[in-house]
Amino acid sequence: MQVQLVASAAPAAGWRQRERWVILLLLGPSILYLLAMSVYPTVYSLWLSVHNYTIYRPDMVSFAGLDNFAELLDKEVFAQSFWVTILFSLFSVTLEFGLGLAVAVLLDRKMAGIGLLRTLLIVPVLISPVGMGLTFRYILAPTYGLLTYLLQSAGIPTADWMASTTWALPAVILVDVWQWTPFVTLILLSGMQSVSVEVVEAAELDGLTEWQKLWHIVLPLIRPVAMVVLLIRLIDSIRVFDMIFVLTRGGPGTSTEVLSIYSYVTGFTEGDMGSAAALAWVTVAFVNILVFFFLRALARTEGS
Amino acid sequence: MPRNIPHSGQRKSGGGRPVPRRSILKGLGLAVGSGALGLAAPSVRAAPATVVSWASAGQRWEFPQRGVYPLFQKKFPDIKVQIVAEPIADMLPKTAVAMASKSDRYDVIHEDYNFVPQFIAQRALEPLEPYLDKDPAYKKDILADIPENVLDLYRDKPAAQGGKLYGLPPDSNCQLQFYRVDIFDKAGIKPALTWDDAIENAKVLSDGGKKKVVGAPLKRGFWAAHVFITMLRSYGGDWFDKMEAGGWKVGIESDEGRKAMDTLMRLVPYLEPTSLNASDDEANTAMLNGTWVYAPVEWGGSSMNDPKYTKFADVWKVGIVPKGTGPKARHAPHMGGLGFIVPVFSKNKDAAWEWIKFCCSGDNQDPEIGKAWVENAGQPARASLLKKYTSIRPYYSGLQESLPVAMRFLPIPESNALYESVGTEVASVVTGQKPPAQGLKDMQAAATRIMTKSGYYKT
Amino acid sequence: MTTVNEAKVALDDSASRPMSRPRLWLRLGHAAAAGVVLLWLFPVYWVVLTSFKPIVEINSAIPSFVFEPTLENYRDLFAKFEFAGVLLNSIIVTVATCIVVVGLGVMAAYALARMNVPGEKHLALWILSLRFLPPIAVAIPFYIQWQDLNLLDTHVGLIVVYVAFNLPFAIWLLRGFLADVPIELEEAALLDGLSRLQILWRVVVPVILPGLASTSIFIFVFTWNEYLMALMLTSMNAVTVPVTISKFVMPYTILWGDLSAAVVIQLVPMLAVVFLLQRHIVRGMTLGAVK
Repeated sequence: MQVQLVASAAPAAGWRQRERWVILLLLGPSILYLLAMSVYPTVYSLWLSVHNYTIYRPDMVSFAGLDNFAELLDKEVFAQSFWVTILFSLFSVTLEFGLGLAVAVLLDRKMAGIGLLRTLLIVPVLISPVGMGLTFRYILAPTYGLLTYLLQSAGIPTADWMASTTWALPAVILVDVWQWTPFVTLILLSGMQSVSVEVVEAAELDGLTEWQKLWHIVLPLIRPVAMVVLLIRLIDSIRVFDMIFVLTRGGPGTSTEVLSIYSYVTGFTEGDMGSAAALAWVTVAFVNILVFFFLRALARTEGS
Repeated sequence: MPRNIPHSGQRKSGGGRPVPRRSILKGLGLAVGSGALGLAAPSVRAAPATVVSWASAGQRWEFPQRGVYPLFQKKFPDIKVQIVAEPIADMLPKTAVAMASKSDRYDVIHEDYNFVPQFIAQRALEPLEPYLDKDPAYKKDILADIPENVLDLYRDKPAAQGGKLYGLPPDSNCQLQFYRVDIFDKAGIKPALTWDDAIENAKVLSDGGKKKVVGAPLKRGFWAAHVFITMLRSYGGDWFDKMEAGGWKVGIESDEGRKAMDTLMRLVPYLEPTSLNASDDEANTAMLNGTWVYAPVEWGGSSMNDPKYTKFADVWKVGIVPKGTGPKARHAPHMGGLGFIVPVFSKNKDAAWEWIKFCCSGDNQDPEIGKAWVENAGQPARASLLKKYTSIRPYYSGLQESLPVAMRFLPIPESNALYESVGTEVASVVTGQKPPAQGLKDMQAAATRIMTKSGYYKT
Repeated sequence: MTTVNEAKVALDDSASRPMSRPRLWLRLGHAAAAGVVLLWLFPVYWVVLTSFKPIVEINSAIPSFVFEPTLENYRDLFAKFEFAGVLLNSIIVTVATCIVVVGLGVMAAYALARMNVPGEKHLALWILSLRFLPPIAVAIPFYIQWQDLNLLDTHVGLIVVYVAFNLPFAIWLLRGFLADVPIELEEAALLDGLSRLQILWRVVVPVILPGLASTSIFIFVFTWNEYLMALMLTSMNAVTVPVTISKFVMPYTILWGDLSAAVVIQLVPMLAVVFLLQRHIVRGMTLGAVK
C-alpha cells in the first residue's frame, strides 16, 4: 500500500514528458516497421482485388469494381473450397484438441525421462512440413505406399487414400492432426503442471476421484490456456497451405482444395491475380469474423 | 517491507542457470553482424560476361546444361555461366512474375513454350533471327534439323506466315503411348491404334478389373486438360473453330467433345488410383517402379530407358498416341518442350546468345556437345541427334515418329489459363464430382469466359 | 510443513502432484505414455531410416526395414546441392530474425503493457490482426518491391520479411508474459531512482527470460521452416533449407534419400535448441498464453 501511494505522488509534468519520449523509443520502431511492411502489400492487394489483372496480360489492366468478389460467389469452386476449408478446420481442430487433452492427461506424471518424452513429442511440430508432407505422400500412396503395404500384409482392407475424393480430405486431416496435436498437448500440459499443489491436495482431501479431479478442478483452471490454444489452431488451420500443397495440391479433383490453395492456383497457375487477391481478402474477413466472435464468447464466459 | 530487487545475474523463477547479460550482448552483436553479412553478400547482379541461366531442376533441363558447360568453358573461357535451377512447377510461375515485373536478373530462361506467346505479347523477348543471321551455316543447319512445327512453337506466327523466332529449343517432348513389352507379349496384345483398342488393352491387362496397372496423369488443371484435349483433337475437334478474328468460338461442347469425354470415362474404370491425382512425378514414379505397365497417353521421358532410374529400362517401349474413330480422326499428341529465350531486359545478350547457340549446336560444332547433352539426360529437338542416339535411348524413336504430327498448346497468352480451368472441370468429372455432360458444359463456359475477358469477341 | 515446500516447488515443472494411485495403474500409465509418444513418431522414424538407406532399396516397390545402412545420401546432399551453404543461409536468417524480433518485441510489448499508451487496446488488436493475412496475398507485392530495391535473393531481404511476419506474434506473446510480472518489482525500482529503460533492462528482462526463451523458440521454428516467402524471394544465393527440400521432387524421380537426409539435418538443430530450453518453454507457454 505505502509503496503505491508513494509512486502515485511522483512528480507529474516532467515525468510524463519523459514517458512520452520513452514510449516513442520503445514502441515507435516496431509500429513504424509493421506499418511500412504492411501498408504496401495491403494497399497493393486491395488494388489488385478491384482490378482485372492477369499475369499473362499485365498490359491489359482494367478497373473491375466488385466484380472479382461477385464472381467468387458465382463460382461453385469457391463454395466448394470454402466448404472444404470449414470441414478441414472443424475436424482437425476438434481432433487435435480432444487427442491433445487426452495425451496431456496421460503425460501429466512424474517419471524418468519425461523431459525426453516431451522433447520427442514436439518433433512433429518442428519437422519440415514440406519434408513430412512428401513422406506422408509416400506413406499414403494408394498402390505402392507404406501404409497400404502394412495393411495388406496384415490382411486389412485398404482404401485409395490420396487418390480418392472421399478419403483424401480425411487423410490430409490425419496428417495435420499428427503434426499439431503435440503442440496442443504441450501447452495444455504446461497449464496442468502449474495448477497449484494446494488446490489438488485440497481436492484429494475432499475425496474426489482422479476423474472428478480432472473434470471439476484441473480443466476449469486451465481454461484460459486452452482457449488460447484453440484460437491459435483455429486461425492457423484456416490459413493452412504448405502441408496440403505438398500432399495433394488440392486434389484429387478439388476435394482437398482449401481456400489458400485455391487462391494460389487462381493467382499463380491460372494467372488471375485480381481474383486471387479478392479471395485472399475474403479469407481474411472470414478469419477476422471468426476471431471476433470467439473472443466475445470467451470474454463473456470468463466473467463466470 | 524489504524487497529483493533481482539483478540481471539472478533470476526469480525456479530452475535453470542464470543467463548473463554478456551473452545477450553477444547475441545482439551476432544480429548486427548477420545483417552486415547479408548486405555484403553478393547479389545476383551479373558481372560483365556472366550469363545467368534459369533452368528447371533435374533431368532434361538442368543436368544437360551442367554437362555441356565444361566444353563451353574451353571454347569461351571469358564467359561465365551461372545455372540457377529450380523445380519446374515453381519456376514457371516465377518466370511469369519476373517478366511481368521486367526483371533483369536472368539472361537466359529455359522456358516452357506454353509461356512464350504471353511473353511475346508483352514484348518481353529478344528476337533471335539477327543473332542467327550472323552464322549462316549454323542457321541453315539448325533450321533443317529441327522440325518446323517445333520451331514454330517459339515464333510469334508460323514460319509459313512470316513469323519471327524468339526462342531456340535444345529440348523437345511429346505425349507418347508407353507400354511394357514384356507384359504385352505375355498377354498377347499390341500397342493400340485407336482409343477403343487402348481400352481393350486396359481391359485385358486389368484381368477383368482385378488389377489396376494402367495409368494416365489426371491431376486437376493442366494435366487432366492435356489428356482430354488430346482425345478431343484425335476425333477431329479442337479448342476453337478458327483462330482468327471473327472465329475463336470454343469447340469443347461439340460432337467431338462428347466422343472424347465418353472415351475418357470408359478408360477411367481401368485406371490405377494414383492417376486421379497424378502429375508428372507421380506418373513417372509409378512407371519407373512398376506400378503402371501401360500409359496410352503420357509424357514420360527418356528416363524410362535409363537403368539408373528403373529396373525396367529394357522393356519400356513407346508408340504413337492412339487416334479416334471417324473420318476426321487423327493422331494428335501434344507437343511439349522447353526452349531458350532471352528477356529484352537482360544486360548480357551477346554472351547469352553464345550459350544458347552452343547448347543447341548438336553435332554441328562438335559431336561432343550432342553427346554430352544426351548423356546428361537431355531430350534434344534435333532430328539428327534423336536418330543417332536411339540405340542408347529407344525412347527417342518415339519422339522421332510423333513430333512431325504433334500439336501445340495454344499460341495465345491465355493458353495456360485455358488449360488450367478446363482441366479443373475434367478432374471433377473423372473423380465423380460432377456428371460428364455437366462437366462439358462447365468447360465450355470457363473457356468462353476467359476468351471474353481477354476481348476476343469484341466486334 | 511439507505443504509449504511443495507449494514452492509446484511452479517448477519437474515436480508433479503427489502420487496416490495404485502402483499397477501407475506402471501402465508410464508404459502408455512412452508408448503413445514413440508410436506417434513412427513417420519420423521412417524418415530417419530412409536417410540411411541405399538408393536402390528406396526405389523398390516393396518397403524394407532391414538393409545395410549407408551415408551416401548425406554425402550426396552436400556434394550435389551445396547443402552446407544452404544450411548456413537458414542459420543466418533464422538467428538474425529471432534476435531482431525479440529485441524489438520486448521493447514494444513493455510499452504496451506497462506504459500509458493512448489507444493501447486498438493498437494491440491491429498488431494481432496482421497475423491473419495469408502469406499468399503478400507474396507478389513483396517480390515486385524487393526486385526494385535489389533485395531479391539476399539474406537481408528475407530477414526483413520474416521480422515483419513474426513481430506481431512476438509482441502479443511477450505482452502476456509482461502482464504477469508483479508490478511491485518495478515500483520498487522506480523508488530506487531507476529510469524506465533501466527498469526494463535490469529488472524486467531477467524476470521474463523464460518468456523470451519460449518466444524465441516459436520464432525459430516458424522461420526455420518457412517455405512460401523463401521460395518466392530467393533463387540461388540465399536459398534456405525448406526450399532446397522441395527441389528433391525432380521431374522423373523424387530423391527420397536426399530428402530424408535433409529433413534429418534440418531437425537436429531445432531438437537441440528445444531440448536445452525445454524447461523454459513449458513454463513460458503457460505464463504467456494465459493473457
